[in-house]
Amino acid sequence: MNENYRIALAGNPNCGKTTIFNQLTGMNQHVGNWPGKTVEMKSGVCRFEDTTLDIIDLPGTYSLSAYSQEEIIARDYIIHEKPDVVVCVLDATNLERNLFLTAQIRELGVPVVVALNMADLLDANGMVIDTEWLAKALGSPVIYTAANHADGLQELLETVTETARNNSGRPIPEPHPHHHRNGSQAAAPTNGLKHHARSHQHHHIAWRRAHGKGHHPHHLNLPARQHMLAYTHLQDFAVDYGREIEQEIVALIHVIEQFPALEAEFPTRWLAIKLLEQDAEIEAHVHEVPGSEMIFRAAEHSLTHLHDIYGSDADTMIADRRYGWINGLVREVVKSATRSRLLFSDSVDKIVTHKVLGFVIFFFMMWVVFKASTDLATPLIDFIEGTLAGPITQWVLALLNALNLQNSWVSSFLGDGIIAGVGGVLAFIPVLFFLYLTLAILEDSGYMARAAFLMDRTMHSLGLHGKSFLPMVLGFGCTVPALYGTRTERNQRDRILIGLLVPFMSCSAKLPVYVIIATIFFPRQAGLVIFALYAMGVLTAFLIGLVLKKTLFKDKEAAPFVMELPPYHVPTLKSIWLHTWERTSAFIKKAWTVILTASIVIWLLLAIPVNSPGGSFNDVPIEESAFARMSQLFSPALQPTGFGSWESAGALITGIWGKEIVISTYAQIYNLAEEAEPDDEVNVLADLGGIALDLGGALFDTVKSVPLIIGIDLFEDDNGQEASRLSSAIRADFEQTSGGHGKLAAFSLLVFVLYYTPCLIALNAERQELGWQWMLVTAFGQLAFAWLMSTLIFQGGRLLGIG
Amino acid sequence: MIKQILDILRSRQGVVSVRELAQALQAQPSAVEGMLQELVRMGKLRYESGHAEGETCVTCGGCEGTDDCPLLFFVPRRLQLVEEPPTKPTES
Repeated sequence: MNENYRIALAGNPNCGKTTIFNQLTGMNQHVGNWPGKTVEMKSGVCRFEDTTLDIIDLPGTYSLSAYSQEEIIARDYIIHEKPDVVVCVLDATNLERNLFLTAQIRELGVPVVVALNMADLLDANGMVIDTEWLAKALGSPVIYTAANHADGLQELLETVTETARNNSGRPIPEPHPHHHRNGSQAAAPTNGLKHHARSHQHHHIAWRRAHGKGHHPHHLNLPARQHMLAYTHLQDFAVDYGREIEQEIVALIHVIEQFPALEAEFPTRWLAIKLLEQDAEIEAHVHEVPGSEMIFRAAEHSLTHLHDIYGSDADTMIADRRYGWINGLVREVVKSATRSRLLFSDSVDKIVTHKVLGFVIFFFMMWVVFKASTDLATPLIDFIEGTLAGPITQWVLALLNALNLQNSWVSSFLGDGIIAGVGGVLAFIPVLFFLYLTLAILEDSGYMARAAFLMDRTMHSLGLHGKSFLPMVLGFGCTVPALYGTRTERNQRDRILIGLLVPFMSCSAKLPVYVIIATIFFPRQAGLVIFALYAMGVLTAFLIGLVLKKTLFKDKEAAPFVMELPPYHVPTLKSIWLHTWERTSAFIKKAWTVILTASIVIWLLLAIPVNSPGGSFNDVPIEESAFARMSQLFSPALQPTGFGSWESAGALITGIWGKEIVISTYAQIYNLAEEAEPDDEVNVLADLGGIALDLGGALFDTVKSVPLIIGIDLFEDDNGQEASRLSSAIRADFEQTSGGHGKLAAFSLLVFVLYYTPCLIALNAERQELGWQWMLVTAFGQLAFAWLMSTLIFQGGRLLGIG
Repeated sequence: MIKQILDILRSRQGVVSVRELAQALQAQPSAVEGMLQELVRMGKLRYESGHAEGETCVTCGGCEGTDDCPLLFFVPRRLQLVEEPPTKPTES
């Protein structure tokens, strides 16, 4: 007898539904689009014994709530096309989530066969499912499958065919010998499918276990679990929604039954539930039926009544009961070794998100990040500086000599403007590379998500909006997108508050300043110093936020939220490399134009004489240049901070253009002060060889530095490197302006860089986001705060005899 | 269960992780994720992105918009409780 049935495959995304579809249909597939939709439709044919099964792969959905195109397609197909059997494919390892869709499909009253897919992973997850009880509860046969190994598909086809036959009212043939899976006459499977050969008895076809050996397939039409809702006397499959809701469902069913067209089209109980859920699609459909106002009046009455009782919308209560039913069922059918045992991820989370331990770990991680950034980058920075100041400068000078342009403004422009500017950009690369590398490892492993969770919670617990941490985290990268990020805050007052706090985060551009200055003055503790600066920024933002929140920005509590924490995993080299490279290159791309332009402008200002008797363009004592004269106006104000030289004042002024320019300005100033002398002979090949050797040495030193990050010195012969010209000049300058307290003045400068006016682009973003008034508050407020903090640190430190 | 999630969020007045919700509900974390999705669909929760949609960062122009900005650090997705869920229109 040749039979033909239509089978629909339904399931959550990633449950293996399409794998089952492919296994069943093989090459007999047709791919197109659902009529009038952009969603892909896959159909195919499976010939099983004497039966032809037209199989349609419904779009993967988590529910039939009709919020998405996929959900509407799946639901409409089941309701209107009425397939002979719907195969609900479930990820057996995520039963609780997957059952939500199954419960909704069962509520539609269609014949269902449940395929518990990925059954091969159950053992690994320490799970055992009581399929007998599950089958009874769902009123549907349950089959174990492992589609990727083609396991269990033979049984699935048998059960689907039998269910379809039974529901079509056709005569039932005698079972095929191979239906008895333990028998010796098992026939060769069709379609190359394998029996599911699991050793555990509970993995056998559930329905058979549920009803005992020898039961006739007639029993496939099993009665649903005897819910016997006392208040509705319902005997078919039904989720128990509780007395109040069930009564309203029954009341609505009575009204719906007065509309034969609707009754013929939809299962009445399902339709009543959808009306209580205020399903827009269904409401629109019902609305087209003449006289349906009566139904809507009844629904409105029910909704009001339920809202009065529960204080919640009916859709919330219905979803709540449905999930409750599923949860109860899962507790009954899943025997999981891991259910009572914390998973690895949970155990780690308990520690890293702990209110106290979590912070200790967080600060330790950040310390490692900054220590790694400085320790690993230093040899490469020295290499870059040495190469630029050495061979490359010599080549340019030799070229200029050849062109007879030595001692001309062109020579000065190339040497002090361009090379110094490019050097300023290149010197950032190692620092940022290692910073982003270490952060990428933490990020990809899943740790950074925990850090964000920890900070969020802590800020909220102290009365600050937890979500304010979000733009602040972004602020570690760049203040500008972080300021735009405040737009997600709907409350204007909170938005202003967060916008004021964001610039206290140390953005990427401040880091090179920290690294260079800290390496010059605190070579052994550079990582610790940088870590302290970052911590100071966060702490300051935190305290200022707390004060403002309790005073000027007093407001109601923020809305609570759920955070999705990704599972931990070992980061891949490719992913780490991509993150590191993308960020480093993006920063360089952003910085090079700003730095190079600034370098040229500064060179110009350094070349222009002001109040310089006998000085001319590009031939002026540096102290009498326009740049120096301008800087000298501000330097007295910096005297109390310990770094009151015009050089520092000038570097800090240009830093308002972009923080990364501070160091390149120092480089330009000291480059001018000490002119390089050209070598008599330039040997490019020898220089290239020297550069390659230096690079090798720098890379070796970087590798040597790895154990140093955690305080292990494997190469104790490292007695420090020869200080570069820039380092020596900056050190001498600070020693002089601070009266011998160079280290203290250097730390004071770092604190000033941390706090003072953000860059012009950030100020512009703040003007756009918060307005002129708040931009001025930030610009001058932070400048004053920076001066105050630096003065306190320097003067206080001096009084205490520190540094 | 869904109502319990909303009750926990309202009572905690702060951030809650999916793991914590799963423990409180004694449910599988994947099931809690499903419940959260359902709450999003119902308009009771909404996803909160780290930055304004459609805004282009002006710092470098090196990317299509803030979504692609490599300088931004990863922040986990967050679902915020919608304080006053939109009332669906009821036919009458």
